Amino acid sequence: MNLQRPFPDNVLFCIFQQFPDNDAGEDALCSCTLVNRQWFSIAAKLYWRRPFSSTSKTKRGMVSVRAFLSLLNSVERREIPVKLLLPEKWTNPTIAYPSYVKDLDICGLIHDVYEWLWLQLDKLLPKKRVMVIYSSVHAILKMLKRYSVNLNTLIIHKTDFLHEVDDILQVLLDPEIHELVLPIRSLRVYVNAYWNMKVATPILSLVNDCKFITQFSISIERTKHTPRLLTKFIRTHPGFEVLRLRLFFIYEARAFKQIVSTIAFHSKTLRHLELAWIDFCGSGPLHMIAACQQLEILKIMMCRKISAKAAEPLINAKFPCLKSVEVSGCDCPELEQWAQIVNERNCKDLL
Amino acid sequence: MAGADQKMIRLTSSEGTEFLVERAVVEKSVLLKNMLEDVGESDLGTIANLTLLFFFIPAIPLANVTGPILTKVIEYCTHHRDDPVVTQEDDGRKSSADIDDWDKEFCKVDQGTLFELILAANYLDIKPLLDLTCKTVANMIRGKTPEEIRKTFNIENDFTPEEEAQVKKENEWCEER
Repeated sequence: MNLQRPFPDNVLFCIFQQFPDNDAGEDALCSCTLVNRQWFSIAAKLYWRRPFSSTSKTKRGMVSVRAFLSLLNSVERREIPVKLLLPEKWTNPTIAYPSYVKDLDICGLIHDVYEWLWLQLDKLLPKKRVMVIYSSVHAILKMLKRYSVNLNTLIIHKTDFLHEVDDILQVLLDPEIHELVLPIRSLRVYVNAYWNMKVATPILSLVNDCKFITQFSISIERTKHTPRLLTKFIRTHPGFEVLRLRLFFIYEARAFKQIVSTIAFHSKTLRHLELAWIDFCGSGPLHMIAACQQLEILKIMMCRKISAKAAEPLINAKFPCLKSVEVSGCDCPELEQWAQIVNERNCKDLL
Repeated sequence: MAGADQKMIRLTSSEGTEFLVERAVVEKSVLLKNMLEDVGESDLGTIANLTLLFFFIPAIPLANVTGPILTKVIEYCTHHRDDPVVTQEDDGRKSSADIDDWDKEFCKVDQGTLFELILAANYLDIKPLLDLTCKTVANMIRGKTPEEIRKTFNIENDFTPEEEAQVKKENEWCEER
């Protein structure tokens, strides 16, 4: 095969965008950075867009941690309290890698810093260990700020890899770092373990202060404080365009009502709404969803106890912008039938 | 054959071959859709008599697309004419939806044709076709080393040895802690 003429940059970008968002995709992108100058300049944009991930393998994270530690200036290096084996300084990197960062997975960063330092950390007492990770994460975030990173998405994916992660997450409350996350437009929170006020406080602070957030996703498995906090998250910041709630059967009817009624706060702006793993027991009619007249995409998945009566306002609403409805695993035939009718109607309109 | 009320558009490929295509199919191309909207409804009219159409409606020349490639593009747009318009939320990675059987079959072409299809989809601004063809190329890249990629696509390595070593050092993982 012969590439008679090189692909234009936007076509190369489109090709690289097709790599899956997993380890194999990261490996493919990495190979593309090493092909030639044009491929490097395009692939690096995607490769460094999300340098850390809580869900993919550590090797990729190690590349990012090494690069970012190498890019710390003398002041930032001094923040790290014990004499660690930091990688040598890069004085003239090929490109300004940090400036490509758009999505920051903060727990992924904490995890990868921990992995990078683990041999050295092993010799330290737990308290000192937390301090070292905290200050390393802080120094990296400060460096990102120095590069004027324009963050689009902040991901807080809390798992139990490290007990002290809750303490390290407080770095988001540091005034210097807070400024870095202020421009985010999308906040994604996944808490796969018990969460507490230590985790909730920085999230609440972000929701309060990041005025440009238009996309909010939250996925929670088990929690004590969920209803009150979630209500606060969703109510504090009216104007979401995308809202994804995955609540894993919070079955207390009062709590549910409290959370889902807050959807009404975004009724004028919401275009994309996803509700999953929610118990609708005692919810009453779903007027708050019917009120979202700008909705383009609605997904209701694996939810329980949606009665025909509760679904009635939805079925009778007009939704002039609605393009697609997905209802699955909800045990509400009326709602599933309505979804089918809406989707068929949209197909006919296109014809 | 299109119904009498179906508006038809004439397209001309780079070698001058003419194609008569339903407007709904042509409008899968954002470039042509905008062009037709700019020209206006009255200028195009609805001509049921195809002979008249050939005489009175000027064809749209597509200097960058050859006849065989335009045939494939029309085949794709005709098959997907009823698909809803998908809006992209951001400029990050795509969700990796599977390629359906018809599309897979459609992409079973020689690699030269595949590349020409990509360039045509890009020029005509047909996003789903561009995504499909790019995904096919992405699948060809996956699992290959940089050297294998260069060999497959006959790409010249224009890095100097020093640059290449530096890029490698900065982007690749090697145990050096």
